[in-house]
Formats: sequence, C-alpha cells, structure tokens
Amino acid sequence: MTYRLATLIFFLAFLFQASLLNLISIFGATPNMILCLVIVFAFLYDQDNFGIVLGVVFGLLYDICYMPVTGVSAMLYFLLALAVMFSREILNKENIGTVLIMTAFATFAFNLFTWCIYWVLGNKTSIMTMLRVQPLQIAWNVVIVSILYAVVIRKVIKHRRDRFYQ
Amino acid sequence: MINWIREHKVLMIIFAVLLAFCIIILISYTRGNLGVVSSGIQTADSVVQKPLTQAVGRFEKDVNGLIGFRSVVKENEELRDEIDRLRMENTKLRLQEEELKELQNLYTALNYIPQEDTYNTVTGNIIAIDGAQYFNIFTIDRGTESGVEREAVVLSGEGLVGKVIDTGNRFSKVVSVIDIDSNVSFMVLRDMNVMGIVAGNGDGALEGYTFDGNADINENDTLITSGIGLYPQGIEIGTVKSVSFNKDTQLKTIEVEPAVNFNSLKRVMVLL
Repeated sequence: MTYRLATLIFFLAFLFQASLLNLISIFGATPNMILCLVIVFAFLYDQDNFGIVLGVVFGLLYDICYMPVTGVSAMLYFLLALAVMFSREILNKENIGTVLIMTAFATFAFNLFTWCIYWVLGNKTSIMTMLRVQPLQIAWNVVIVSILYAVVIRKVIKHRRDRFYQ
Repeated sequence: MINWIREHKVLMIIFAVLLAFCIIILISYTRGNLGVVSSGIQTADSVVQKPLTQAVGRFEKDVNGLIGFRSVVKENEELRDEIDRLRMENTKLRLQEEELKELQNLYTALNYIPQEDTYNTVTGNIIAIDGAQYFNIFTIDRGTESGVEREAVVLSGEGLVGKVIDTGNRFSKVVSVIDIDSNVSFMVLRDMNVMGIVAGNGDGALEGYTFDGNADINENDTLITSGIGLYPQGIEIGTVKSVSFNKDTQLKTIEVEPAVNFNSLKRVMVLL
C-alpha cells in the first residue's frame, strides 16, 4: 500500500465520520472509523508507519473541525498507535481474535481518556453517560475492524497460514 | 545527559510529540481555536462536507420514501413545516397576549415605546455532527459571510436549539442546548413569574431548578426563555416532564423534554 492510497482511505473515513456514519447510529453510538483504521494499519504494517502518522494528521483535522478542543483525539490516536505497534511484536498478526480484543480495549481506552481529558478541562459529563454507550461503540468498532482486517490482511500477508512461507 | 538522549532517541521523540500535543491542547483550550489555520481548515471541510451531507440527506429521504411511500413522506414534511410555523406563531401570540395585558396597565402611567422584534435571521443546514456522544456540537453551512457571530442564538421552528461557539467563512460550530455545559434561564409560559435555570443532563434532556422553592410549576408546563442572559425572551425551550422538591437546596428541581427533536434536526435559524 502506498501513502497516497492510505491517505485517501483516512480522508474518506474522516469525511464519512461526521455525516454518513450518523445514518447508522444506534442509540447515539457510531463507529470511530479513524480509530479503526489506526488500529488495523498500525498492527498490520511493519515497515510503514501509516497508522501513527495518518492517525495524528486526521486526528488533528477531526479535532479542529468537530471537537471543542484541538489535539485530544490526535494525541490519543498517537498513543494508541504506539501501543498497538509495540504489541504487534509479541502478538500473532494472523489471528483475527487478537485484533478484535485489541480493538475493544483501544476503543474503551480512547473514550475513557477522552472523557478524562475533557473532565480535567471542565466538561461536566458524568462518567456513566460515557460508559453507557461503550458496549455499542465497542461492538461497532469490532465489526468495522473485522471487515477492514479481512481486506487489508490479504495485501499484507500473501500466503496466510502457509507453514513453508518465510 | 546528551549520551542518554542519544541512546533513547525513540523515547525522546515520543516525549517531544506528547509535549507538543499538550501545548496544542492548552493553546486551543485557552484561545478557543487555533486562528487562521484552523478557520481555513474548517472552511475547506464545510465546502467538501456540504455536498456530501446533502447527498446523504437525499439518500436518507429516498430510502424513507421507498419504505413509507413518497407522497406520504412529502405530505408529512409539509405538515411538519406547517406545524413548526404555527407553533412559533402560537408562542408569539401567547406572549404578546401576556405582554399586552401588562402594557395596557403600564401604558397610561409610563411613556411606553413598543419594543419591536429587531432580529434578522439566516437559515443554515447542518452539515456535520461530532462523533463523541457527549458534546452535542454540530456544524452548519453559514458563517461570517452571512453575518453569523460567536454567541449568536440558534433556533428552529420547534424552539431553542443552542448557540454558536465558533464561526468562520462558510461554517459555524453550534453547541446545542442539551449540552451539559449549556445553561438557559427560563420562565413558565403559563405564569411568567416562575423562573429558573435549566441545563443539559447529558442524556438528551434538560434538568434544572426554579429560583423559588414554592414556585407554581407543574408537569406539562411549557418553558420559554426568560430574556436574562444570552437568549432573547420568548423562545420555547421544552415541556416539564417531572417536578420534585430538593430538600437539600430547598428548590424545586425539574426534568424537561426539549421542544426540539435533535435527532431529526436538519435545518436551523441563526439570530443575527
């Protein structure tokens, strides 16, 4: 995958996040497309840093356009991409279960830390409001990541489960 | 020290990036936005988002039309517009009736000059909604080019929507009244002496209290803006769902259903 294609995918995700995805909102929960892309790209691509670089860039754009404070999402995408990149050294890429569990943790961590930072900055939303939407948000992200994983893994590993492949 | 930094390059880069993010967050938090660059990006985004949102809206309408018959959907939309218009007219008339009574009493005693509604308005379409569920911020396609300013009041035919928190060329960010940080001073339409404050409860509704613990406020009472603070008098806020007495504060606390259905909101009006 080239940087140009990866950037285009992130750009489409950024555009759809605030418009198209609201159509499939369930009780206010929509998938976080940028987070899903950050996880998949940071986990599957060893050589290129698509996940971390594009996560930061589009995180900043998202913050500027739709969030009250700039930098929060971008910083969290950066930290989560780092965590995923470190974890890929010890986890099996070809096991989709690993990625899905990681997605669940990453989604929860992203929302929890977003809530914490905004709470420190004076937002009075109760933690229960944030927690209530988590199961649906996690479910959405797991679905999206499993679709993305199924597509991207074919490009990253040409001979899956081939025991003779080095 | 220098050797240690050289040996831990990755760690130092991560630390530097995090530090940069902290600075960006602090600047953005204290200044509200990041100036010209931020404004330019949002303008570009609104230019791209507008046709996309319109296409999505058309698609949504078409699907609804196919499922629920086109003609019925069209008729329903027309009726909704009519209801919105009549509701606004009704609220205005009821206000005018109350005002008229008071003014008639004062007219002879004071040299009263009738106050006219001097607000100009501009209509905008919602082009984006934030993904984080607990901020209730959305973007409209009208900005400084249409005369929209920060703190401008936003409403729809149903009632009060919120206020503008950031604006630029061809875009404005609006925080809705159901946001937990939005405070609105209200009065009861039935008895305008009953006043209080409501704010978002983080769950899509409003909660608040009356200034007087013995205030006569009941379920199904309509609340309108009192004119104290940012919002002009007479805009419908919502209907009282429940009333209870808080022993600690000795005030009546209320739960309010907003007049505006934020889930189906597509178009808003900004007071200039």
